[in-house]
Amino acid sequence: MSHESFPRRVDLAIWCAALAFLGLAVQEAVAVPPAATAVAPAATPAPAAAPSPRESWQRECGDCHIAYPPRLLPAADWRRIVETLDRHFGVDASLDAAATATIAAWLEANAGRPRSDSSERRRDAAARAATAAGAAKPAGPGKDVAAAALPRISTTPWFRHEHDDIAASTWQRPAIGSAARCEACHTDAAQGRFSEHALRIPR
Amino acid sequence: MRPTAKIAPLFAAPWLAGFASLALATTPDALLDQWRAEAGSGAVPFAAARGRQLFETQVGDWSCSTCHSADPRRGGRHVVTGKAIEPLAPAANPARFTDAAKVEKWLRRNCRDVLQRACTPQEKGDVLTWLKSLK
Repeated sequence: MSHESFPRRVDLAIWCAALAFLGLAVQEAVAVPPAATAVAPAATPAPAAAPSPRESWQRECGDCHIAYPPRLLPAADWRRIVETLDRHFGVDASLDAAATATIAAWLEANAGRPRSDSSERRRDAAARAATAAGAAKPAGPGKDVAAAALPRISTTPWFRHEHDDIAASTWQRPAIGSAARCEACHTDAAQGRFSEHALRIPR
Repeated sequence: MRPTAKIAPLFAAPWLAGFASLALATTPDALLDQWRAEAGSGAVPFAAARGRQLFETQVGDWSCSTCHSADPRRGGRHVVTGKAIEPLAPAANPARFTDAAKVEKWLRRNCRDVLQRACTPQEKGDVLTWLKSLK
């Protein structure tokens, strides 16, 4: 995936990539894999420090799917998603009021830039195109009446552009199954990175 | 926001995630005691057989076992996203039922998803009694 597709300045993107690499090195040095903490919170009694907004997001938004980086949607879309967590793509993903407020503010502060065209028009057009491509269909049973109206990362123009060489049959491979599973191909997605080097499309 | 402020969390996250936790520690037995008290005088003793039956009961599209698998000693898979789910049975996964807030959050969500209503303390106790009995 190219950096230009992200709503970011190129120089900032390069800095982020370099710093993310450093971050990985530090993370390995202290041996605290984020995946392990997401699955099983620290068993030892912890000092009473409030979790940072980023940690709350990582923990609360990374249970059923990887915690999708905030830069992948504009602030208005995140707001809609957070406001409808009790009807989140067919499931109840509601949070208590404090966590909801913390995470909403953090997502909006770190969101991608809005597109020039209206969010509504873009979503409609993108949803039609994605449905035609068969890429955005959830793998599970229905129950997703409200989901049709929710913003989807996988129907944004940049996502479709980046994945336009992926055939519908590839998305349907058992090891992939859903566009929700970034980590099926982007082996560094759970760490918020999507580098070409870490890309492995399963057979 | 300045770029440095924006990317600083990249560094902070890995170790903050390990230490910062406000989890209210509990145990499966403490939860059973709590739900027994909440169920009150109308409750019958928790029964593993009833718990198993509820776990496998399909309402609409889903049952608990749709995502958690029919054998909670094994892991499951989220039916929509496909993400792996750790085993539910404490014998297979000692971290289960040790964080009171997490237990209540997931029961609130999943009972609504599957049963389209909240679970009663009796139902929670029955299911946990069954999960505890799995070795």
